[in-house]
Amino acid sequence: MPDARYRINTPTVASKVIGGDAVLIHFTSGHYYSTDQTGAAIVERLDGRTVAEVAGAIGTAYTGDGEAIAEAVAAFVRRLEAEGLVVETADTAAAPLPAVEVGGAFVAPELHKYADLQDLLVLDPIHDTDEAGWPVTPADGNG
Amino acid sequence: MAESAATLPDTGIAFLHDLRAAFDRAAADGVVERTYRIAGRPVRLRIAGDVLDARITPALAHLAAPIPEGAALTVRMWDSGATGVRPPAPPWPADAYRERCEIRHDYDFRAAFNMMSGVLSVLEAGDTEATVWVRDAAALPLWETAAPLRALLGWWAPAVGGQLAHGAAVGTKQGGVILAAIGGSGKSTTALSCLDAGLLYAGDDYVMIEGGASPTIHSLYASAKLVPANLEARLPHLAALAQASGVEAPGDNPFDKVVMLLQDHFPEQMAAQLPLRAVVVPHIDPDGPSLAPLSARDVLRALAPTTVFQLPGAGGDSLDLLSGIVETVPGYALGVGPDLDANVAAIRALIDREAHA
Repeated sequence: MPDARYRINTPTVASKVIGGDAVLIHFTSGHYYSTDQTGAAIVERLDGRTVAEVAGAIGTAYTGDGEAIAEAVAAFVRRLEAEGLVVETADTAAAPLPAVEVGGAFVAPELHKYADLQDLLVLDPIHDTDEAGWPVTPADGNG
Repeated sequence: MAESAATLPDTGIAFLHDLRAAFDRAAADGVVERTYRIAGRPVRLRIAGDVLDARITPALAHLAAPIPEGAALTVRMWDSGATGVRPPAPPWPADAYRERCEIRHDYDFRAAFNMMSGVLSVLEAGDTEATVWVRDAAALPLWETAAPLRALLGWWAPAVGGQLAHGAAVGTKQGGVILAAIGGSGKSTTALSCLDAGLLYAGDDYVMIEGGASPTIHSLYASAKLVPANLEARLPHLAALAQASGVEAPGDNPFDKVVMLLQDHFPEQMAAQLPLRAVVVPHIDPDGPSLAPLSARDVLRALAPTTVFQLPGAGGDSLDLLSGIVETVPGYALGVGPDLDANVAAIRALIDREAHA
């Protein structure tokens, strides 16, 4: 895990760091997420970098036990991976690892998950088609 | 979309050709030409079938305008119910239909099919020519007539520097606010309250936002949708404007709202554009109205997911544009209270304050 490299799972996922926090959107699950400063710093740096590299940058910026910080960062990345928000990659980041500007006592990042919009993703994979091949629903009276 | 039409796979070229040919057959008995300025840009609709014209165009009536310079976007539309003309067979397989009405294919054009309304939307490469087929205009759900061409306009918006956003928009001569929130937050009731109180109105469900140094709200639809019980309880004098939703089981369906077409009733208050002064995220507050600054993250969280989950093809670019706007204008949480006039006064005061900030 420490040597694994990750990237945001684009284009299935889009992420944006704004005001130091992050918002992530998963376009096929219908879930969306937010995370705070530490989580956003991790998300922003997971672009072809190893978990150890990202944990090192976080550990340099925040005060706290280095081992505990590394484990918290790894746990957060595992959570991101489990949600399908990041995937492993063989590509190495081209840009230098940016320093984390916000400091202070380290607080383990939290990932807030929202499922209230799933119904908006209209998908009806089970459908009949008309003679030309266009989908019809029972409501059409043709299916 | 980088590939030129000349290098398209033959089946894609043939489909677009046959789609246009089908429209031409449908239009043989006459076509209604409508012209508009949408986000200030000239748009032409060529509609075959009187029923389709009657169902699609009332929500756009406030944007009708001559376009002597020609159209930046031309949309051909027909429906099989009135004309009997069928579209060509789709060139993609049956499993190509995905979330958000997207059609997954490798051709050099955009396509979406809404199975609930039976509407196929196709925007050709170059973003200037589009074709829409409707299975039966007479059977179009009211929510489709309240926000017609949404998929097309969502694709087209970036070509004119804009982005569709899920939200209501109201304002004064000093500018406007977007009310961004999911259902049940008081968004539509608040927007209609503002209209009822004399404010300008740019939409209750979808608007276009143009970013940059001076973000602008562009109205798309002169319509409103409201849960029937809210309309009857909160704004009963507007109930006569509502049409029956046609849904069999009220309350169980997110689309089960009554629709109001507003241009004929409030022509002076339909605003084609408003300077964007703030993004407001409403929520029900029995002690409201209340107003509090909201972080950019929370504003984006309220605005972006509900927008992109309903727009075929929206992705990271949409999130980037929306976040750029959220970073440019202030955000507020509005506690919507039981006194509608007080809610309107809070919005009016906010616009006045931000216009002079």
